[in-house]
Amino acid sequence: MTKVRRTLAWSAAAAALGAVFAAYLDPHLVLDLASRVWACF
Amino acid sequence: MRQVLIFGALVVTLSMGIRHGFGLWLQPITMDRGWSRETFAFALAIQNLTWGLFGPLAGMLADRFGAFRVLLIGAVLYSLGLITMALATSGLAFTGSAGVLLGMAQSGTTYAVVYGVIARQVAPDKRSWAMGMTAAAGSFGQFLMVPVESWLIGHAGWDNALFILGIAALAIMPMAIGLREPPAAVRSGPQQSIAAALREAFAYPSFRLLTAGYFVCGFQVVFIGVHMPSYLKDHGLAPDVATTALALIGLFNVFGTYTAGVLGQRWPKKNILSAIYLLRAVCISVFLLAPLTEWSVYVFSAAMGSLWLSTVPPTNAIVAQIFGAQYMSMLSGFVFLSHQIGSFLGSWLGGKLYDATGSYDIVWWLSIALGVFAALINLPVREAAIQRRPLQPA
Repeated sequence: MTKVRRTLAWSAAAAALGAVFAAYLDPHLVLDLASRVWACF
Repeated sequence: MRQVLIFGALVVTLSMGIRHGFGLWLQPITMDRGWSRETFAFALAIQNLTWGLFGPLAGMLADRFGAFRVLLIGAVLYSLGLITMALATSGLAFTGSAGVLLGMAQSGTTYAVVYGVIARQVAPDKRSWAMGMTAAAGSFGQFLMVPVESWLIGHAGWDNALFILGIAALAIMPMAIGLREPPAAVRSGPQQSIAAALREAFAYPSFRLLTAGYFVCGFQVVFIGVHMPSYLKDHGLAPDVATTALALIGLFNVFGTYTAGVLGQRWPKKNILSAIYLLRAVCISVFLLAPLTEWSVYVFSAAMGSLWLSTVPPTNAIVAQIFGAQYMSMLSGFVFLSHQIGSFLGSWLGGKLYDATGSYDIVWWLSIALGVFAALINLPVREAAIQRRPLQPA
């Protein structure tokens, strides 16, 4: 794999991880998840 | 090799991802059906045990007939399990679908089956890295699917969300084509019988040590995953702290599993395992002894996330290294059974001892002790390929 391809692959992986992490920080999701998780106890 | 990696990663992303968010259905299903939480929790406990119990069988079939066929059956069972989970109107039917069917499906579509193909198709000098890459994909699936499933439940309703996932699970079938092996690849190597392979593995001390260590992994991960939100609530932390902790564990888990695979190329994998278990014990000790704040939870979650499924690549790579690829999936299935027994106990004992003592302290300290125990028992593991006597001519 060339250096450019490797950099692109790592950048794509970082972007995907960042996007999913951002989804967790969305206030609606935080509240939704928290209420579901909390409802278990 | 690239094809195996890409399709193996896709299969595991989907199979590990879908199951990770099942807890999100607890509230809507129990409210809609009028069931107790115990009904739901019992089905998921059965699912975890079934996954472990069917792991060796699924692995045996994958070793004998190829992962492709097992993945096809696993995908159909996954889809059926999700659809019947939505349709179940009694606790028994729910246990049969969410518990038994999905547990069987997971045993046929997750690590042990895919790792068998990797062990046969990837050169030994790149195997640990390849297993790390695949495990990281599974970790990413878990990280990704929680918000996706939450969104699906919110927008389509809990039952339609299960139907959609039931259709999505069928995508494992075309992905499995990329893991199809020629029959010669499946049956290559010394022609050892299944019984002989099992006798050999269970008589080999290093296999027993690895299996015992994996029990600890299951115990710790499931105890923390299931009971930490309750622990945080008991200590007065805000609900969104648990959500952020979940996100941090998911994010760092991806890095941790990949890194463990990469390190396995350079260092003895038993030392990596030992370090992981020791670091878990240290992390839990510091978390318990330090003042509990929002930030201590975040640091703990990031650290534990890095160590979460990072045991998967080195454990499986050692199994392949010692015993070869012929019965890799079956033997990994047996090691994983031990993991699932640990998972069951981590979840159950956490609740049992909490009810008995009013605190999680005993189970936290038990987790630390088990971490030290697992760190010690992995040190004497011998990673070298087992020396077999040449087969006698008939």
